[in-house]
Amino acid sequence: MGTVPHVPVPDAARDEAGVITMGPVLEALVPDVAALRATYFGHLAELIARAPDVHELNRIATAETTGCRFCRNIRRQDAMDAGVDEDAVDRVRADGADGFDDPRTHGALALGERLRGYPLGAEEEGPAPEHTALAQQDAPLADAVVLAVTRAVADGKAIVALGLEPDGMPVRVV
Amino acid sequence: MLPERLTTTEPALAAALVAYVDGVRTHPALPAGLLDACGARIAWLLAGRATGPTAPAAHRDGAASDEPTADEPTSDETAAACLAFAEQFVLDAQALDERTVGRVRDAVGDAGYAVLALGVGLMEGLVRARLAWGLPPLPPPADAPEVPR
Repeated sequence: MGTVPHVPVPDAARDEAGVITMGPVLEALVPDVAALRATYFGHLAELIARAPDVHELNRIATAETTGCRFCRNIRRQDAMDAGVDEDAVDRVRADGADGFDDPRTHGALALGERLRGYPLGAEEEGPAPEHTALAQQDAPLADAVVLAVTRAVADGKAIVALGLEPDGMPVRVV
Repeated sequence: MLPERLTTTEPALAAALVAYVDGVRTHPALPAGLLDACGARIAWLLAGRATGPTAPAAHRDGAASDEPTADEPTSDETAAACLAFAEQFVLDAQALDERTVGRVRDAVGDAGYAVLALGVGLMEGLVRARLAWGLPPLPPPADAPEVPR
């Protein structure tokens, strides 16, 4: 899947390198939905900006789950821009939360893994233990991780479903 | 939709999310009630809890039924196509095949397909988020019409 776009891609959605930006694709097809999405993302971006390092690490881990090729490539640079070093990027890809000893980063990545990895028919009662553990350190961060990771999963999968990541034609999620 | 502490501390974000979800679930590119039906199916898949008429009946209030799944013939091709898409999206989006996607695009067009892909992602995200917060999946809105099967 993902070798042919499944929706029309307007010229305005491609840059000179052929990179597709998702927002203009949606603006051309469903402008009302695109505007609502952009408004929500604007508010979510403010939340993410309060702890960019852990959110970028979770984005890298999420990209491995959704299979979005562009996300896997572009997130490395975004993480470094957020103050994450190359070694940490390699560790999150190789070991996930287990690659980090500090409780804040480990807790945020463990919560991300829980969010992405709920088994079918989880039937769990009460909050996820990973959320409780991180919330005891930093409750706003725990809620921000929930919103950021579930947003990343949703959009990464939508990109794949819309066929907006053909081979050699990466897509930018903005 | 969000825990009360979040709606209190982040009211603008909470309002924006509610507006986004409502805008998608009531979008005219999809039949009324279709995304609510997909949301109920996703909640059943992920959380093992029935929240609406499209959760298999055996899982609703203990009732036994031979109600068809998304893979079986139903009386409504659009609903069946979209439910099949939603199931595969949740299970493994990379494994969505041309037949599954083509059924949806034939039924609802490009705009409908885009709304469905975003909406199913939103619904899945909300189920996962509410599991992490220890909250039950949201039931379909009271004004959601039942999707023909």
